[in-house]
Amino acid sequence: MSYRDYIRKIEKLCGEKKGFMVLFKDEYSEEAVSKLYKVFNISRVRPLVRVRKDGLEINIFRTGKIIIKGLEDEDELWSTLDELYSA
Amino acid sequence: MFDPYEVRRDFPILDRRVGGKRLIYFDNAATSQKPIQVIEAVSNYYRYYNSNVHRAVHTMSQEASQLYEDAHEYVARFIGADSYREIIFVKNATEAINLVAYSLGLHEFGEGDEVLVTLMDHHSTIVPWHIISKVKGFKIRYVNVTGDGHIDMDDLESKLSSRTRILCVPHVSNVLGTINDVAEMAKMVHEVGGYILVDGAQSVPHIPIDVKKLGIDFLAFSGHKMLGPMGIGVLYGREDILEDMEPFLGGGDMISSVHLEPGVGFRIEYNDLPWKFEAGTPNVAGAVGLMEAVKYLERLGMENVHSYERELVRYAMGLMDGLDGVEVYGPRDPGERAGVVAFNVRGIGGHEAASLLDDYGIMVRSGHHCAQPLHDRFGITNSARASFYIYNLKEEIDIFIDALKEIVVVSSEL
Repeated sequence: MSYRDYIRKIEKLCGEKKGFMVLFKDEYSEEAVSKLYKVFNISRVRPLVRVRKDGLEINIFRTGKIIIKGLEDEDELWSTLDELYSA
Repeated sequence: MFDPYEVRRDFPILDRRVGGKRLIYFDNAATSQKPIQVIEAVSNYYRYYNSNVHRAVHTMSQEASQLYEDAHEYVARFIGADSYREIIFVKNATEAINLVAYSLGLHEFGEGDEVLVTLMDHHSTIVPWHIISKVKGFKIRYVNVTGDGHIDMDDLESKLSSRTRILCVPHVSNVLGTINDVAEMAKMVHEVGGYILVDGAQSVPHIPIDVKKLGIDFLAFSGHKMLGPMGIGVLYGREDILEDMEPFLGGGDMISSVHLEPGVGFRIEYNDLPWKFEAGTPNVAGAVGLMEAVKYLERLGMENVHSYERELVRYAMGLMDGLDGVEVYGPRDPGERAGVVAFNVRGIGGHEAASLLDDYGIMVRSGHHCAQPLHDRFGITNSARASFYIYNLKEEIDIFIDALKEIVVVSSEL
């Protein structure tokens, strides 16, 4: 199973030229978020965790959503997600 | 005054839970919820009356036509129009504004003319005029907004001239909640011979409206923000102006006759008002739902609706003003605004704040609210927006404030 199966919806953010929201499916949201916690060595679960990577701002919501800002386009979103979930 | 707890019983959706939490719906400026009376009116229309209007002599078509025409009458009375002839049903406020922009702008405005739009306007006002100005060559000028969230009346006065063909202005800002003095603006623009088009999307659902007392030429609003169904909106236009305007869309029902005359071509005569502007099969079920929504609001009384929402805003702003790390935009005096409160939490954007509030079952909008020039004016890219209506409660605002306090802490730890 690919991480892409975790994803329910991707939406460009209103009012954020370079921002995207990624919503995970309820059944995979915990797994999707924990993998990101692991990648960024986050030990304490919080409602919102913000990390920065290669000029991107990544907001990870405990409830199964991420908001990434600083992306050029959707292609860069996918390559970022590919990289994060293959780590 | 009505009892909001009684009102809530009419809204079945308010019983649902979101993420295990009781729903708190504070996104009423985007769309309101619907009372059971409206839901049943639409359902009953399709169960018992569905037929095309103005097309046939049979009983059902006559009944559907009567309902559709009654809906025009109800809306006319609700906003103080002289008659149903001044009420055009469209898809939404956006289409209503486009109708004016195309019918007037495309046919009557040209080089040397000016259209005034404010920085407070929704994109649905700015964009249609922009599109048509590219074709016709008229100029769009922008009226500024003051730092405390009002339209800059001095700037407006300085930009009005004999070249001004129309002033477009929101009655209530969908971001700041500011209630604009459109009656005064109508006088000002009429003095230079221009029209005024008022975007009433955020005012008609919330405050008493009398188009004749306001002295305005056009008023655009949506049904879905005032308890009605989506897909039905209204353009009020002064009858003498509408009579002289060219149609917006062509098709069935907007004509009285179409004939081919040899050597001449098609000879087309348009229908009477308001049908001249309602081409094709209309949204009859939506109109019936809107009529029921109007009846509902009239039962509550629009003065009561306004007073109740003003009290909610006063309460919310009083608590939000005391929150370190929360910035509220717009007039400080709750008496100057309708039930809209846009805000940001220090350290996070509007989307993050709205996402965190969602975890508490609280629905607020985030983004630029289709008002990017206004956000630019205040040096922000987006905001979160809580907007209230007749079924919201102070207890819900308390939960919202408690959630905001926790979100301020979360954002401070990022």
